[in-house]
Amino acid sequence: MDDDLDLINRTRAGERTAFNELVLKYQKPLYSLLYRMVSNHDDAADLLQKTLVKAFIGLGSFQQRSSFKTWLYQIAINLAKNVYRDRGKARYVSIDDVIISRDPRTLDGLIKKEDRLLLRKALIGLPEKQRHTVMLRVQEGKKFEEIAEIMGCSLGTAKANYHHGVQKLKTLMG
Amino acid sequence: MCNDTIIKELLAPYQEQKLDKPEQGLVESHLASCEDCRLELSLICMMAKERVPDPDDAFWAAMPGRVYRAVQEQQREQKNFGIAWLLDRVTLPRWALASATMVAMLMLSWFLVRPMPEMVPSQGYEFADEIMPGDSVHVAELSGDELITLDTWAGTALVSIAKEAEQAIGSVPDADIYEEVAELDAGEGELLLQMINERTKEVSS
Repeated sequence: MDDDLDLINRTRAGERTAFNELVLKYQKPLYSLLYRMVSNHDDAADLLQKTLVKAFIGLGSFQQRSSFKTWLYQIAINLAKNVYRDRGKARYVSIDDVIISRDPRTLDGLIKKEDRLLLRKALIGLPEKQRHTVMLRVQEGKKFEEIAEIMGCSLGTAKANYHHGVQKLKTLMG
Repeated sequence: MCNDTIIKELLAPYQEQKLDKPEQGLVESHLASCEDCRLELSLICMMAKERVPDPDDAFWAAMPGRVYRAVQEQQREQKNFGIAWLLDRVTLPRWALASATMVAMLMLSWFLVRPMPEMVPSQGYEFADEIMPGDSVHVAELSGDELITLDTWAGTALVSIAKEAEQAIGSVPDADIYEEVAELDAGEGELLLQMINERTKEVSS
């Protein structure tokens, strides 16, 4: 956090190397989060750039109430929400089509692929806040306190969203 | 369905192997007897193992430069958010806007430097000049000598008219004759002048 503050202050002062360092430090975790949210490289790369640009343009408004990483996650999730809403579910194809068209190889591979696709589909079927909470908790390994900060809700709400989300996933996958 | 929220909150860190020994033992003993939590744990494991493809090194190396250029571009756009922004959003071609601006400036210049309209003279009494009958002169335009002449003339002419009026109405007016004249409006003044002219002609003939 102190490292981040130093880099942020130097970036605010116009130091290009500090700017580069911040981007290099956070681009991978942000890309990972965004990829999980939008499920394709092009959108994830585009959102990553937009997130970082928005963060650096608004760096003056960063008030250090949360960590810089949490602040970046908030921006990324808000931008991804818009893409997600615009796109809807139109780009998701049926599981059968995917399994037939892509090299199925072994039966084990087929089952795993089917499970993954089912899981992805089930995740998409979750309400937005539950989906994001589950992704942040399970896939990003965030603590509930961090999730509450990123999602802008209370700790109790973050936990409730997680439990409801997981329950629904179990029902859909069961 | 299992409602043990403490165990459920420990499943994700259990999968991440972030629990200490006692917590790990607690979760494992629960899992041994709870099918619902086993299902939840397998789901968590599946989600956690969902891999994100790693773009090549060139992608990561180029990102700071891309972001920096985009930031600079946006900052430039914010600075130009003025006349250029407005012009971009007006559908007319620029030559039409330039012509319209020129016309507006010409109209404004003409309004500012146009010749002033003639002043309308304030309403007053006009007296016929004895020397040039038919030509009227405003009282304010008379010189000092002319005013004295006019006063002398009015002293004799108006007094005789006043006497005639007195004879006609059978009483002497209380107010001074000059005050009376000063209170006449334009029409009455005209009428009085006509009467004076007629009387002057009669006297001179």
